[in-house]
Amino acid sequence: MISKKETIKNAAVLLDVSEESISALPEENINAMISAFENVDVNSDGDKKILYEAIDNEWQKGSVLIILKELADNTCIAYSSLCRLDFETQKSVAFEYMADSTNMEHIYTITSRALVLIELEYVSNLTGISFDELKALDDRKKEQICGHYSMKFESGGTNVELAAELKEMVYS
Amino acid sequence: MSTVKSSGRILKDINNRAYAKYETEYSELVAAALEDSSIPYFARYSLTELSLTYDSEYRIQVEEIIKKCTSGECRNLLREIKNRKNKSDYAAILPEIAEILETSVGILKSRPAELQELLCKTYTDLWFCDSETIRKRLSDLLMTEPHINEKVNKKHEFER
Repeated sequence: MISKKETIKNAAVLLDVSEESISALPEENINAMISAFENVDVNSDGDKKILYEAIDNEWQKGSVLIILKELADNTCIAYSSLCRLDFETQKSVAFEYMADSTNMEHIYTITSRALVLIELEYVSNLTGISFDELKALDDRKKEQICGHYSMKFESGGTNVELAAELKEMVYS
Repeated sequence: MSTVKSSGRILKDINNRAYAKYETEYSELVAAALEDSSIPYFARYSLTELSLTYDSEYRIQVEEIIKKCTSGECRNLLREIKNRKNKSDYAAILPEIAEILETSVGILKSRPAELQELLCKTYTDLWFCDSETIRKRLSDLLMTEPHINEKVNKKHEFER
Protein backbone atom coordinates (compact mmCIF):
# COMPACT_ATOMS: atom_id res chain seq x y z
CA MET A 1 0.00 0.00 0.00
CA ILE A 2 1.25 3.54 -0.82
CA SER A 3 1.48 6.33 1.77
CA LYS A 4 -0.22 9.71 1.43
CA LYS A 5 3.13 11.51 1.44
CA GLU A 6 4.47 9.31 -1.35
CA THR A 7 1.27 9.82 -3.36
CA ILE A 8 1.46 13.62 -3.08
CA LYS A 9 5.08 13.55 -4.23
CA ASN A 10 4.40 11.18 -7.16
CA ALA A 11 1.28 13.08 -8.27
CA ALA A 12 3.16 16.39 -8.23
CA VAL A 13 5.90 14.92 -10.43
CA LEU A 14 3.40 13.29 -12.78
CA LEU A 15 1.33 16.47 -13.27
CA ASP A 16 4.30 18.81 -13.06
CA VAL A 17 2.69 20.91 -10.34
CA SER A 18 3.80 21.78 -6.81
CA GLU A 19 3.37 19.34 -3.93
CA GLU A 20 1.53 22.11 -2.05
CA SER A 21 -1.17 22.27 -4.71
CA ILE A 22 -1.76 18.53 -4.32
CA SER A 23 -1.71 18.70 -0.49
CA ALA A 24 -4.37 21.42 -0.60
CA LEU A 25 -6.87 19.14 -2.38
CA PRO A 26 -9.80 17.65 -0.43
CA GLU A 27 -9.02 14.37 1.34
CA GLU A 28 -11.39 12.45 -0.95
CA ASN A 29 -9.39 13.38 -4.05
CA ILE A 30 -6.04 12.54 -2.45
CA ASN A 31 -7.45 9.19 -1.37
CA ALA A 32 -8.65 8.53 -4.92
CA MET A 33 -5.12 9.32 -6.14
CA ILE A 34 -3.70 6.80 -3.65
CA SER A 35 -6.18 4.25 -4.97
CA ALA A 36 -5.15 4.96 -8.58
CA PHE A 37 -1.43 4.57 -7.78
CA GLU A 38 -2.18 1.31 -5.96
CA ASN A 39 -4.49 -0.18 -8.57
CA VAL A 40 -2.91 0.83 -11.88
CA ASP A 41 0.10 -1.35 -12.68
CA VAL A 42 2.22 0.64 -15.13
CA ASN A 43 3.63 -1.81 -17.68
CA SER A 44 2.98 0.06 -20.91
CA ASP A 45 2.33 3.50 -22.38
CA GLY A 46 -1.38 2.70 -22.25
CA ASP A 47 -1.13 2.09 -18.49
CA LYS A 48 0.83 5.35 -18.08
CA LYS A 49 -2.00 7.17 -19.86
CA ILE A 50 -4.63 5.57 -17.61
CA LEU A 51 -2.70 6.57 -14.49
CA TYR A 52 -2.09 10.12 -15.76
CA GLU A 53 -5.78 10.56 -16.59
CA ALA A 54 -6.83 9.26 -13.17
CA ILE A 55 -4.48 11.59 -11.28
CA ASP A 56 -5.23 14.59 -13.52
CA ASN A 57 -8.96 13.97 -13.17
CA GLU A 58 -8.74 13.97 -9.37
CA TRP A 59 -6.57 17.09 -9.45
CA GLN A 60 -9.15 18.90 -11.59
CA LYS A 61 -12.04 17.70 -9.43
CA GLY A 62 -10.25 18.73 -6.24
CA SER A 63 -9.26 22.13 -7.63
CA VAL A 64 -12.88 22.85 -8.58
CA LEU A 65 -14.00 21.79 -5.10
CA ILE A 66 -11.58 24.29 -3.54
CA ILE A 67 -13.30 27.09 -5.51
CA LEU A 68 -16.74 25.75 -4.57
CA LYS A 69 -15.73 25.74 -0.89
CA GLU A 70 -14.87 29.42 -1.20
CA LEU A 71 -18.20 30.05 -2.94
CA ALA A 72 -20.08 28.24 -0.14
CA ASP A 73 -18.21 30.21 2.52
CA ASN A 74 -19.21 33.49 0.87
CA THR A 75 -22.83 32.64 0.04
CA CYS A 76 -25.69 30.69 1.59
CA ILE A 77 -25.35 27.70 -0.79
CA ALA A 78 -24.34 24.66 1.27
CA TYR A 79 -20.98 23.11 0.35
CA SER A 80 -22.53 19.65 0.71
CA SER A 81 -25.08 20.55 -2.01
CA LEU A 82 -22.33 21.79 -4.32
CA CYS A 83 -20.38 18.56 -3.74
CA ARG A 84 -23.37 16.55 -4.94
CA LEU A 85 -23.44 18.26 -8.36
CA ASP A 86 -22.02 16.40 -11.34
CA PHE A 87 -18.52 17.49 -12.33
CA GLU A 88 -19.58 19.39 -15.46
CA THR A 89 -22.02 21.50 -13.43
CA GLN A 90 -19.44 22.01 -10.68
CA LYS A 91 -17.05 23.32 -13.34
CA SER A 92 -19.71 25.69 -14.74
CA VAL A 93 -20.59 27.01 -11.28
CA ALA A 94 -16.91 27.47 -10.38
CA PHE A 95 -16.30 29.24 -13.71
CA GLU A 96 -19.28 31.57 -13.23
CA TYR A 97 -18.17 32.35 -9.71
CA MET A 98 -14.59 33.09 -10.76
CA ALA A 99 -15.84 35.28 -13.62
CA ASP A 100 -18.29 37.29 -11.50
CA SER A 101 -18.76 36.39 -7.86
CA THR A 102 -21.68 38.85 -7.56
CA ASN A 103 -23.87 37.13 -10.15
CA MET A 104 -25.53 34.89 -7.58
CA GLU A 105 -28.92 34.62 -9.31
CA HIS A 106 -27.37 32.81 -12.26
CA ILE A 107 -25.31 30.56 -9.99
CA TYR A 108 -28.44 29.66 -7.94
CA THR A 109 -30.35 28.77 -11.13
CA ILE A 110 -27.62 26.45 -12.45
CA THR A 111 -27.22 24.82 -9.02
CA SER A 112 -30.90 24.20 -8.27
CA ARG A 113 -31.60 22.75 -11.74
CA ALA A 114 -28.68 20.36 -11.40
CA LEU A 115 -29.69 19.34 -7.86
CA VAL A 116 -33.12 18.28 -9.12
CA LEU A 117 -31.46 16.03 -11.68
CA ILE A 118 -29.26 14.45 -9.02
CA GLU A 119 -32.24 13.60 -6.85
CA LEU A 120 -33.86 12.10 -9.95
CA GLU A 121 -30.97 9.66 -10.21
CA TYR A 122 -31.69 8.48 -6.66
CA VAL A 123 -35.43 8.34 -7.40
CA SER A 124 -34.69 6.23 -10.48
CA ASN A 125 -32.59 3.86 -8.41
CA LEU A 126 -35.24 3.52 -5.71
CA THR A 127 -38.25 3.09 -8.00
CA GLY A 128 -36.70 1.19 -10.88
CA ILE A 129 -38.11 3.82 -13.31
CA SER A 130 -35.48 4.75 -15.90
CA PHE A 131 -33.62 8.04 -15.44
CA ASP A 132 -34.51 9.11 -18.99
CA GLU A 133 -38.22 8.59 -18.31
CA LEU A 134 -37.98 10.72 -15.14
CA LYS A 135 -35.93 13.37 -16.89
CA ALA A 136 -38.63 13.73 -19.56
CA LEU A 137 -41.27 14.77 -16.97
CA ASP A 138 -42.18 18.46 -16.76
CA ASP A 139 -40.10 20.63 -14.44
CA ARG A 140 -42.88 21.19 -11.90
CA LYS A 141 -43.48 17.46 -11.50
CA LYS A 142 -39.74 16.77 -11.24
CA GLU A 143 -39.48 19.34 -8.42
CA GLN A 144 -42.43 17.78 -6.56
CA ILE A 145 -41.02 14.27 -6.91
CA CYS A 146 -37.54 15.30 -5.79
CA GLY A 147 -38.91 17.35 -2.90
CA HIS A 148 -40.97 14.36 -1.73
CA TYR A 149 -37.92 12.11 -2.02
CA SER A 150 -35.69 14.51 -0.05
CA MET A 151 -38.23 14.87 2.75
CA LYS A 152 -39.21 11.25 3.16
CA PHE A 153 -36.10 9.22 2.31
CA GLU A 154 -34.82 7.30 5.32
CA SER A 155 -31.15 6.45 5.21
CA GLY A 156 -30.70 2.80 6.15
CA GLY A 157 -34.41 2.00 5.64
CA THR A 158 -35.93 -0.01 2.80
CA ASN A 159 -38.06 3.00 1.75
CA VAL A 160 -40.55 0.69 0.07
CA GLU A 161 -43.54 2.91 0.87
CA LEU A 162 -41.69 5.92 -0.47
CA ALA A 163 -40.91 4.04 -3.69
CA ALA A 164 -44.62 3.26 -4.14
CA GLU A 165 -45.58 6.90 -3.47
CA LEU A 166 -43.01 8.16 -5.95
CA LYS A 167 -44.21 5.74 -8.62
CA GLU A 168 -47.75 7.01 -8.09
CA MET A 169 -46.56 10.59 -8.44
CA VAL A 170 -44.72 9.78 -11.67
CA TYR A 171 -47.65 8.02 -13.31
CA SER A 172 -50.49 10.24 -11.99
CA MET B 1 0.61 -8.06 1.70
CA SER B 2 -2.39 -7.21 -0.47
CA THR B 3 -5.05 -9.22 -2.25
CA VAL B 4 -6.40 -8.40 -5.70
CA LYS B 5 -9.95 -9.16 -6.78
CA SER B 6 -11.94 -8.06 -9.79
CA SER B 7 -15.20 -8.67 -11.59
CA GLY B 8 -13.36 -10.84 -14.08
CA ARG B 9 -12.00 -8.01 -16.18
CA ILE B 10 -8.77 -6.06 -16.09
CA LEU B 11 -8.76 -2.50 -14.80
CA LYS B 12 -8.44 -0.87 -18.20
CA ASP B 13 -11.58 -2.63 -19.45
CA ILE B 14 -13.70 -0.90 -16.79
CA ASN B 15 -15.61 2.04 -18.31
CA ASN B 16 -15.85 5.46 -16.65
CA ARG B 17 -13.28 4.48 -14.02
CA ALA B 18 -13.73 6.00 -10.55
CA TYR B 19 -11.16 5.49 -7.80
CA ALA B 20 -11.75 5.42 -4.06
CA LYS B 21 -9.91 4.40 -0.93
CA TYR B 22 -11.48 3.16 2.31
CA GLU B 23 -10.30 2.05 5.70
CA THR B 24 -12.26 -1.12 6.37
CA GLU B 25 -11.78 -4.64 7.63
CA TYR B 26 -14.63 -5.84 5.39
CA SER B 27 -12.96 -5.48 1.98
CA GLU B 28 -13.70 -9.08 1.12
CA LEU B 29 -17.38 -8.51 1.87
CA VAL B 30 -17.42 -5.38 -0.31
CA ALA B 31 -15.84 -7.34 -3.17
CA ALA B 32 -18.40 -10.14 -2.79
CA ALA B 33 -21.29 -7.63 -2.76
CA LEU B 34 -19.96 -5.88 -5.89
CA GLU B 35 -19.66 -9.28 -7.56
CA ASP B 36 -23.22 -10.29 -6.60
CA SER B 37 -24.53 -6.92 -7.78
CA SER B 38 -22.77 -7.38 -11.17
CA ILE B 39 -20.81 -4.13 -10.79
CA PRO B 40 -17.57 -3.93 -12.80
CA TYR B 41 -14.74 -3.38 -10.30
CA PHE B 42 -11.08 -3.94 -9.52
CA ALA B 43 -10.00 -4.03 -5.87
CA ARG B 44 -6.68 -4.29 -4.09
CA TYR B 45 -6.94 -4.69 -0.35
CA SER B 46 -5.14 -5.49 2.88
CA LEU B 47 -6.63 -6.41 6.25
CA THR B 48 -7.47 -2.78 6.98
CA GLU B 49 -7.55 -0.90 3.65
CA LEU B 50 -9.36 -1.12 0.34
CA SER B 51 -8.37 0.54 -2.93
CA LEU B 52 -11.30 0.36 -5.28
CA THR B 53 -11.71 1.12 -8.97
CA TYR B 54 -15.23 0.80 -10.37
CA ASP B 55 -17.50 1.92 -13.19
CA SER B 56 -18.84 5.30 -12.02
CA GLU B 57 -22.18 4.56 -13.72
CA TYR B 58 -22.79 2.39 -10.63
CA ARG B 59 -21.82 5.12 -8.13
CA ILE B 60 -25.09 5.03 -6.18
CA GLN B 61 -25.02 1.25 -5.82
CA VAL B 62 -21.34 1.29 -4.79
CA GLU B 63 -22.01 4.02 -2.20
CA GLU B 64 -24.86 1.94 -0.76
CA ILE B 65 -22.70 -1.19 -0.55
CA ILE B 66 -19.79 0.67 1.05
CA LYS B 67 -22.13 2.29 3.56
CA LYS B 68 -23.59 -1.06 4.55
CA CYS B 69 -20.25 -2.82 4.77
CA THR B 70 -18.46 -0.10 6.70
CA SER B 71 -21.24 0.69 9.18
CA GLY B 72 -21.24 -0.60 12.75
CA GLU B 73 -24.46 -2.36 11.81
CA CYS B 74 -22.42 -4.70 9.63
CA ARG B 75 -20.63 -6.39 12.54
CA ASN B 76 -23.96 -6.90 14.38
CA LEU B 77 -25.62 -8.32 11.32
CA LEU B 78 -22.78 -10.75 10.63
CA ARG B 79 -23.07 -11.99 14.21
CA GLU B 80 -26.85 -12.28 13.88
CA ILE B 81 -26.61 -14.26 10.63
CA LYS B 82 -24.03 -16.59 12.15
CA ASN B 83 -26.38 -17.25 15.06
CA ARG B 84 -29.30 -18.16 12.81
CA LYS B 85 -29.24 -21.90 12.69
CA ASN B 86 -32.78 -23.09 12.17
CA LYS B 87 -35.92 -22.34 10.17
CA SER B 88 -37.72 -20.39 12.89
CA ASP B 89 -34.73 -18.03 13.16
CA TYR B 90 -34.90 -17.42 9.45
CA ALA B 91 -38.65 -16.83 9.58
CA ALA B 92 -38.05 -13.82 11.82
CA ILE B 93 -36.86 -11.86 8.79
CA LEU B 94 -39.92 -12.56 6.63
CA PRO B 95 -41.42 -9.13 7.50
CA GLU B 96 -38.28 -7.41 6.12
CA ILE B 97 -38.51 -9.48 2.95
CA ALA B 98 -42.22 -8.76 2.59
CA GLU B 99 -41.46 -5.04 2.77
CA ILE B 100 -38.78 -5.29 0.09
CA LEU B 101 -41.08 -7.28 -2.20
CA GLU B 102 -43.97 -4.89 -1.51
CA THR B 103 -46.17 -7.73 -0.32
CA SER B 104 -47.58 -8.95 2.99
CA VAL B 105 -46.08 -11.42 5.45
CA GLY B 106 -49.30 -13.44 5.12
CA ILE B 107 -48.80 -13.89 1.39
CA LEU B 108 -45.21 -15.01 1.90
CA LYS B 109 -46.27 -17.42 4.63
CA SER B 110 -48.78 -18.96 2.23
CA ARG B 111 -45.91 -20.00 -0.05
CA PRO B 112 -44.15 -23.37 0.44
CA ALA B 113 -41.93 -23.60 3.54
CA GLU B 114 -39.01 -24.58 1.31
CA LEU B 115 -39.42 -21.38 -0.71
CA GLN B 116 -39.78 -19.23 2.43
CA GLU B 117 -36.55 -20.65 3.76
CA LEU B 118 -34.83 -20.07 0.43
CA LEU B 119 -36.00 -16.44 0.39
CA CYS B 120 -34.68 -15.86 3.91
CA LYS B 121 -31.38 -17.60 3.17
CA THR B 122 -30.93 -15.59 -0.04
CA TYR B 123 -31.75 -12.34 1.76
CA THR B 124 -29.14 -12.93 4.46
CA ASP B 125 -26.59 -13.90 1.78
CA LEU B 126 -27.30 -10.76 -0.23
CA TRP B 127 -27.87 -8.26 2.56
CA PHE B 128 -24.66 -6.40 1.65
CA CYS B 129 -25.68 -5.83 -1.97
CA ASP B 130 -27.54 -2.76 -3.21
CA SER B 131 -31.35 -2.63 -2.70
CA GLU B 132 -32.21 -3.09 -6.37
CA THR B 133 -30.14 -6.28 -6.65
CA ILE B 134 -31.72 -7.70 -3.48
CA ARG B 135 -35.23 -6.87 -4.70
CA LYS B 136 -34.58 -8.36 -8.12
CA ARG B 137 -33.02 -11.59 -6.83
CA LEU B 138 -35.82 -12.16 -4.32
CA SER B 139 -38.48 -11.45 -6.96
CA ASP B 140 -36.73 -13.83 -9.36
CA LEU B 141 -36.84 -16.55 -6.71
CA LEU B 142 -40.57 -16.12 -6.31
CA MET B 143 -41.09 -16.32 -10.06
CA THR B 144 -38.63 -19.05 -10.95
CA GLU B 145 -39.11 -21.80 -8.45
CA PRO B 146 -41.34 -24.00 -10.57
CA HIS B 147 -40.33 -27.24 -8.88
CA ILE B 148 -41.37 -25.88 -5.50
CA ASN B 149 -44.56 -24.29 -6.82
CA GLU B 150 -45.38 -27.48 -8.74
CA LYS B 151 -44.95 -29.58 -5.61
CA VAL B 152 -47.28 -27.30 -3.68
CA ASN B 153 -49.92 -27.31 -6.41
CA LYS B 154 -49.87 -31.12 -6.47
CA LYS B 155 -50.19 -31.18 -2.69
CA HIS B 156 -53.18 -28.83 -2.88
CA GLU B 157 -54.81 -30.95 -5.59
CA PHE B 158 -54.30 -34.05 -3.47
CA GLU B 159 -55.80 -32.37 -0.40
CA ARG B 160 -58.83 -31.29 -2.42
